Amino acid sequence: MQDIPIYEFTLLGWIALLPLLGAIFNGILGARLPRALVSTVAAGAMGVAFILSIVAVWTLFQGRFEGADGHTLYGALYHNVFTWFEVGSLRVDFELLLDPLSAVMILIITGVGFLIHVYSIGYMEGDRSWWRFFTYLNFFVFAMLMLVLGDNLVVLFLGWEGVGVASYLLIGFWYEDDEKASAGKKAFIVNRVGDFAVLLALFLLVIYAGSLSVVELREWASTLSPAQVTALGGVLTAICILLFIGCTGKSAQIPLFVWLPDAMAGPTPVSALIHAATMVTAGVYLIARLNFLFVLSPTAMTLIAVIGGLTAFFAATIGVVQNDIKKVLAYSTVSQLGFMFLAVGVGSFFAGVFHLMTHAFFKALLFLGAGSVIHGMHHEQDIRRMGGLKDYMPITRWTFLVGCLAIAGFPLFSGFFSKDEILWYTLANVHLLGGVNLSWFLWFLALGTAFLTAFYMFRLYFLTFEGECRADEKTRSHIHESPLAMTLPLVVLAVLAGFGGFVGIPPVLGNALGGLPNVMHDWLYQVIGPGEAFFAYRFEGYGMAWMSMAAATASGIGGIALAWLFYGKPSDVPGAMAEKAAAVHRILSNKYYVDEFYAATVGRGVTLLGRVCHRLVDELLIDTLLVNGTARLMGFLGSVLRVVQNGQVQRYVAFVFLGIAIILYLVLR
Amino acid sequence: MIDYVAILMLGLVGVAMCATVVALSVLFGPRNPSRWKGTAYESGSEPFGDARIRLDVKYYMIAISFIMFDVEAVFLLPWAVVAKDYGAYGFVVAMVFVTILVVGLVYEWQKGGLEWD
Amino acid sequence: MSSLITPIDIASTLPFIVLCLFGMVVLLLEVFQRQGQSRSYLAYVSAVGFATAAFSAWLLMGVEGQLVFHDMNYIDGFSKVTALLMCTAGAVTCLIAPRYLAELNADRGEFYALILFSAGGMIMMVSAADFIVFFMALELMSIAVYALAAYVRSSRVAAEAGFKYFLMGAFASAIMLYGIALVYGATGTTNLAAIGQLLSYGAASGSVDPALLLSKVSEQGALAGAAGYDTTTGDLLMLNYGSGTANMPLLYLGITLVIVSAVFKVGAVPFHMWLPDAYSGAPSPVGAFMASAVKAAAFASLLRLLALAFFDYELRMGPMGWVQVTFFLALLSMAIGNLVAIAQTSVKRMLAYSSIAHTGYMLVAITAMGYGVGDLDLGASVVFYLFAYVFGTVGAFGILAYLTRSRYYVERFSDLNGLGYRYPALGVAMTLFMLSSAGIPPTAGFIAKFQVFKAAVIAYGAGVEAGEPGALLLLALVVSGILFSVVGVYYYLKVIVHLYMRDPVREVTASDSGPARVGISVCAIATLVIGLFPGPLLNLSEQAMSQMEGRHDGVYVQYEDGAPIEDLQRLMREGSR
Repeated sequence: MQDIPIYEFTLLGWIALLPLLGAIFNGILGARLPRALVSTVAAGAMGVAFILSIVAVWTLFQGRFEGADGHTLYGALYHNVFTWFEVGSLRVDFELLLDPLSAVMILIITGVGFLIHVYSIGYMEGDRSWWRFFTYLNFFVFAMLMLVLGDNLVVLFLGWEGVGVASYLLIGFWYEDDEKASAGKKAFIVNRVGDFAVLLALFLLVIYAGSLSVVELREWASTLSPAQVTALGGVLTAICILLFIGCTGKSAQIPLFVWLPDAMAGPTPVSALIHAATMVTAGVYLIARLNFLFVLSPTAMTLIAVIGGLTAFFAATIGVVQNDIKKVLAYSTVSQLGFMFLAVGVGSFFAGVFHLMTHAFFKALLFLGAGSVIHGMHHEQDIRRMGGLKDYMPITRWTFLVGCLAIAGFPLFSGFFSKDEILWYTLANVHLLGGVNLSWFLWFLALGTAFLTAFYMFRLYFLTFEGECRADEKTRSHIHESPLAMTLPLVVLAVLAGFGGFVGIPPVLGNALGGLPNVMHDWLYQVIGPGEAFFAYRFEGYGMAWMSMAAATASGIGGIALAWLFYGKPSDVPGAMAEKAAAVHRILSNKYYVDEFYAATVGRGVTLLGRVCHRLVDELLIDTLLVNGTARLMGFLGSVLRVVQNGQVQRYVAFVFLGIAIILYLVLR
Repeated sequence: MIDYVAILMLGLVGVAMCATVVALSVLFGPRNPSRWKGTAYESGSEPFGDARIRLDVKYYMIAISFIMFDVEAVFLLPWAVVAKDYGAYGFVVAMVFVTILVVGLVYEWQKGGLEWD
Repeated sequence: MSSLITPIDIASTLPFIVLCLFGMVVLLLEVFQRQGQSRSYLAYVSAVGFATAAFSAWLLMGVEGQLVFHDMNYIDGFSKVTALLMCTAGAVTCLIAPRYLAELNADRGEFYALILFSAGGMIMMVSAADFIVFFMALELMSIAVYALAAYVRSSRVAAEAGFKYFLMGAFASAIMLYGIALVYGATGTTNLAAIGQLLSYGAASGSVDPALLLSKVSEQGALAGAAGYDTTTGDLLMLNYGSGTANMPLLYLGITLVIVSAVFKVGAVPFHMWLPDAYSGAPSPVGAFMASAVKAAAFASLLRLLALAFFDYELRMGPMGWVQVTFFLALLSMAIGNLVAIAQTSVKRMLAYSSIAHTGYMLVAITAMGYGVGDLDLGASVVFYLFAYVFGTVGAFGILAYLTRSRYYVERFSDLNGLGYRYPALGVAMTLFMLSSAGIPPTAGFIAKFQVFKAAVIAYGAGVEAGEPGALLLLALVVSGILFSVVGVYYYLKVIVHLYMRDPVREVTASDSGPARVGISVCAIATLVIGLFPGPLLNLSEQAMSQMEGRHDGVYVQYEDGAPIEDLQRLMREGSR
């Protein structure tokens, strides 16, 4: 492959630094400053960062040139902030790198982030810890920018952990509520489980590749001969799977998805920014970033595709029966993330990133819309007590409808293009698992998910905005449209969600419309091209592509139609259905009992182990079994202190002797 | 091995001297046994009862002070023997040692460690 | 005269001398001051003492590594870097102490003197070149700390802690002495490097001509326990080490006892029983000192012992090698430390158990260092870890001391409730310490854990390459280590949760002590700065290991010509003196 030129570009440092400065400023002074200033600083830092991002991406675009294989390449911009540490042969630079992939990411992060900051000014108006909120939010953006801009995987990991911390702080933002605080803790700990795998993968990379810099890793991967790849097969698969485990934690995939629905405890703008548009997509980004590595391990790729597909489907089924407006969106996020993993798993990194982008638009829009509804309904979140809101909140309603159409894949809305790409590549690329080609299985899974997605999203829409208002009198009298600070971001996002898809027109359509280019794909080619080259179409011509697109469109519209039948007009079908299939309904509304399963096994297991160790080793083994005399004294709880003073040291000594004896036995046996 | 014969001789002579003196006193000394003379410590109190009694911490303080001076003597005596050979260098080194001990003594003194009550 | 003390001797022990001088000055200042007057200024005097000692250690950086004081001490990169570590820990301890002691009505100057003497002992211990000096320094350090643990005489808990610590410590010392005696019996020398060289001779015998060896030794007529005359034939015999060591249970018993005694001080499971009682019972500043400086000194000296004396392949990896011992100790310490910490309700006890867990992580690196062909440079990760650990631990204990008011101990998690908002700076500092202990970037703890586990993975890679058996076990150790550190996040996070997400149960007012604030800030800033710019410290730790004098490098010592033999004989002569 061709060498990619890299240019120094100091401005990159500022893009990341600005949100950090905002966070520090508000963190230290925020409590004492007027609200207007706090929010201006926070949103202002984001706005300037967004402008700088555009400048940076424009600079990158200006440097384009034609590569050896006829594709347009853009090179990359870098800025070495400092050398973080250097141990032996391993050198970790705190180096920021902007290439077409991270360019897409920073535009999403700063752009959508800016809108959400503006929105938060309206949404968080009444909150007393207003400054804290903006501090955390700015800090999150900083960490997220580290994640996507870091050239070195250790820097990426720094951001990876940083967004975890920020997400933890923001989920538990209303910590007075115990449930919310523990939701934050749950998210953090589940994420740490995934992080350990990432760390292991990094170690393996250090050993085998000798570097953690993405640029150098890419070079290393490209110089591996097929024989070497075969020899390293196990290791490569291990690295990829370990990385993917980290992704399942961060991006809420099976089996570590349980934290995301709980994370809805955070303020709604947080859900929109972190748990829909940016942080949770970090896993997809990581795989796209390291595509050259993943393609070397077909096993890992297939695993990713299967897990992605299954997550997409199962989360969608759970979404069908949720009644909390944010929970529906949460499961829909899990499901859409599954779609993205399906895409990268089947080797279409472009489709994954493309869907990531459109999803960022429409899901942020949907969450903010939901936030607007919650705001207007005075923190009512149950859709069974909503309805008919279209008259009260017209802007919210129309923008929300755009979001729903986009996610349902209604033709020409953004989701339509990206989802179609995923379905097509799922079908067209070959993924073998034990000699069986999974293409059709995954395709049907994705198709089913698309249908369910359209169904539950429009169930949500109809129950919320159409029909009669089911809220009580008092609430109803207060329902109002949200202030401009909130509706403006909605409108902007609605435009993006509506038309954002046209940057990635699939070849089948582009061809039919007279050679329209797939702008997005061309832009990303430099990063993902080599990876995608590993996969080849199974089908000749566009016939199957048309079929796939038609099926996707049909299932989307079918879902919408079914939702309209059930919920668009007064009907008792859903209730009857729920009664008929009571068992299924129960399982679904309890989310397949995954939470309970984890609590019963992992959670309780660890706590139990701690207690057992304490009891068994410290109390039982030493107290009771080792020294009988002191054990009897343990009964006299009244003289605990005496027991402590008389007994324990002897017991300790006895224990030490036992330890030495065991070691000597082991050593000298 | 021949070097050690002298030490052996010294030991033997020492034992012999002690034995001789004790034997002479047993043979020729006058004897008027009384109850008080028969006690273990003629002027002290009779030790009886459990050995695990609590002793006043003051005894330990004195014992520690004693050890301090004792150790000082142990080190200074050999030094005194060769002091001339080592000259000023030896003197300075010994004084450093003594100074450290003096600091300890000053500390103990000021803390009241040398007063019985 | 041969026994003269040279200027380089004095200069190289300057950090030790400075600390002892300051200790004596503090003692005298204490007694010549009227009762009832505040002794807080002695904290500054001691801090200046530590700064001076650290400065002198830094001045010595340029001095070439060598043996001093008649081969009893080393002055080398390792001793200097670790001296910096002890001085930092000691200085911060002195800063967090004064207000705490005043609150507890125990404002006496002896505290600072004991800290200074103890730190002096530590510096001597890590620079020892001989078991005799090593043991003496160990006792100097320990006895001072025994007294410190029981320092608050009015507190029964503290007295109990001191008593236990003393008993167990004395016990450990006895074991150490026994081990040293056995090693001496087997090798005939107490000189660490000489032991190392002697014990690797057998391994080298494949590459060396035994006849040459014998002739060289007999020419000089060197006699040590390791070489002796056959009484019947009058021939000079060399004990056949290497393959022969397998038949020397006494030697292995000695080595095992020495290692056991060393891990006793660092609190590795199953020799950890005293640790929670001692750390949590002792006054918080003393707890800080024990957890940081004492543990760091013990680890550093363990590194020194292993690197100099017991680094022969057979001793490490043989059927009776110590790698398997450290392996199990590491695994157990990580498991028990992390799991039992979860069940604690007292922050101090949690910190104590977490300190056991940290011991486990560091033992992973030591295991890695000794694994396979053996790479002493991997020990640098331990040195780095110690730095990160010292700042985090002293800081956390310091905050507990800072919050303690007269007779009111801040102990339970619930005592920390809501403090993050009442004292924002304190909250941030504590959060940093907890994140660092949990190993979350961008704190020092993350880099430290990264280094330690990386060391183990590198050793695994080298082991696989060399075809060592059981390399996979090492990888398993790393995996379990990382998993246990995930478990650890739970209880560190608990502190943060209490700081920010719980309503105060009870009014806790900070003591508002100026020096303590300085000490805690130093720790917090260091934790963050090391996390962000670990480069210089990493280099320093690397230097510490690579410039360790007398270290036993590689597996086999190549004796091509007579030079190393003469070196050996010199050491043997001096060792047998």
